[in-house]
Amino acid sequence: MAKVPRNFRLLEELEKGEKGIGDGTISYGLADGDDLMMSNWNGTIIGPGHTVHENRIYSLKITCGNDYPDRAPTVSFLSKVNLPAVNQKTGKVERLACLDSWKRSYTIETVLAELRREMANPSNKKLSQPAEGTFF
Amino acid sequence: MALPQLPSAIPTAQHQPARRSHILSMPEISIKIKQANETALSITIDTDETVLALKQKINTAANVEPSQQRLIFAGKVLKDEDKLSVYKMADGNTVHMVKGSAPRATSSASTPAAPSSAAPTNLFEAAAAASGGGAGANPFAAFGGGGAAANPFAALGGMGGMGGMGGMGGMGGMGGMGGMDPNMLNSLMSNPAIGASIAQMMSNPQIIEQLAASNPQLAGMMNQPQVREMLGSDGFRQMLADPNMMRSMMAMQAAMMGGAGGAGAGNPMAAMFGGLAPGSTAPTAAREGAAASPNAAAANPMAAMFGGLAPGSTAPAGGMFNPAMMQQMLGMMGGAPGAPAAPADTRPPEERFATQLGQLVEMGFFDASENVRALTLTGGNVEAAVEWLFAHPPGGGR
Repeated sequence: MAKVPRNFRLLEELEKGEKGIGDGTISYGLADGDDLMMSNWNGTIIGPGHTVHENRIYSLKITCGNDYPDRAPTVSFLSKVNLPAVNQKTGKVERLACLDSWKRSYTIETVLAELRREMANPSNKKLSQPAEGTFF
Repeated sequence: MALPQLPSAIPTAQHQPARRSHILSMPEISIKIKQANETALSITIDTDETVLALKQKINTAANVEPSQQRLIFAGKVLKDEDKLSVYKMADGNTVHMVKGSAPRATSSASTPAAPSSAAPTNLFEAAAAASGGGAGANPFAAFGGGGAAANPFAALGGMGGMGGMGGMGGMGGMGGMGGMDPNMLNSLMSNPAIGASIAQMMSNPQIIEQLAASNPQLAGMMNQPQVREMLGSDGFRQMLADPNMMRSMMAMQAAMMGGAGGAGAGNPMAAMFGGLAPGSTAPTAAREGAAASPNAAAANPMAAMFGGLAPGSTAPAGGMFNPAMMQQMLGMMGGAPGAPAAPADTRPPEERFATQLGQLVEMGFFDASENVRALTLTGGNVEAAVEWLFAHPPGGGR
């Protein structure tokens, strides 16, 4: 199967992000629309219902290196969040299955969706959270 | 989660965006608004419009208060004041909406009752008393600062003085503050008698002439047609007479002070009143207002404008005075007479005064609700808030 080059891949993702995915519980787009390298992305996750995250909007920063999608992007929370996957000092996502065993077919959407599932995970959904609107 | 309503006083913002559609320069785009578990909404809007305008359109279509809407596009939470073009929104894009969860507001914060509002029932009388005589041939001097008899605008200066009296009520009427107690001014401006007399004053060309004659610098300014036109214009008069206008200017001032790190110097009202009334009780304030950091002044055309009117002011303000800007102002006021110059700040006080709150805590005032109260009362002036806090120890007689 032919490998889709980095920039085509990111363009596809950009288009999908702007059209909106599913019910909008996750969203992403380029941090700077003029960034030709498409390296820096913003993402948001709307906290899943019936958890402490309900109705919260979490902002994230996603950086796709030059070797994306062969290598995983680096993902950091901008909004403070208490999750085992997230470094509580820097907001960096450090222990997430899809990042740790990255596959070329994974996308930014994959990462955000998995993070959202983490929030809804029964072992995480009652974790006490920092005040909304605070940032790392 | 309990969702306290944001203060619903947004009368200002709603008037603004609508007019622009006539200009027809930016492309209209059609976007979808998606909300969890609901069908998508289709909205057509100009990319030159602000996010707030979009929220209002959504409100019309889906009946969700703008304050209750949080919009997300391409991984960003949209900010009310930004234009849609900032986010490079294009035709066919989807914006996600999350309802609710306006920032929390503590109950104590929403009581902007002025403790100093034991305002004299008869403002004229009080002002006359404040002036300590000096009422000359000019009837307006009756409530002007002492010795300002020849200048009808002393009336305005007198108001600055009145603010100062409010300061004695615990608002910290310090020189630097120019005695501008927002609440005091509000109540003053709401007084129909005063509004009427200002209107009368401004509509009387003779008085304008007299003003010009009494002050060489102003006379110079008066020779500029724009200025004259401005002073005579309905918009300007209405602005001076309209309590809402004043209030929104105060809000603007508060916002600006926040931006300038609470520097008391950037008080546009002080500049205005002090400046228009040479020899009145607020000359220091005038100078300070005029010498406000260029940054602050630039952010606020009013400040520059009125700073420019201040005869006692020195070069910086004069330099900033600029006919083009004046014309712009004039256009604005003429186009929408009575329309406030800036949208009132509708954020809750905690958010609006976040910087100042931080400063108060650093100074050792730990009672958050008292801090918010003090800042609300003083329009965000930290020094005045400190005075107020000293004058009103928690649990003390209030």
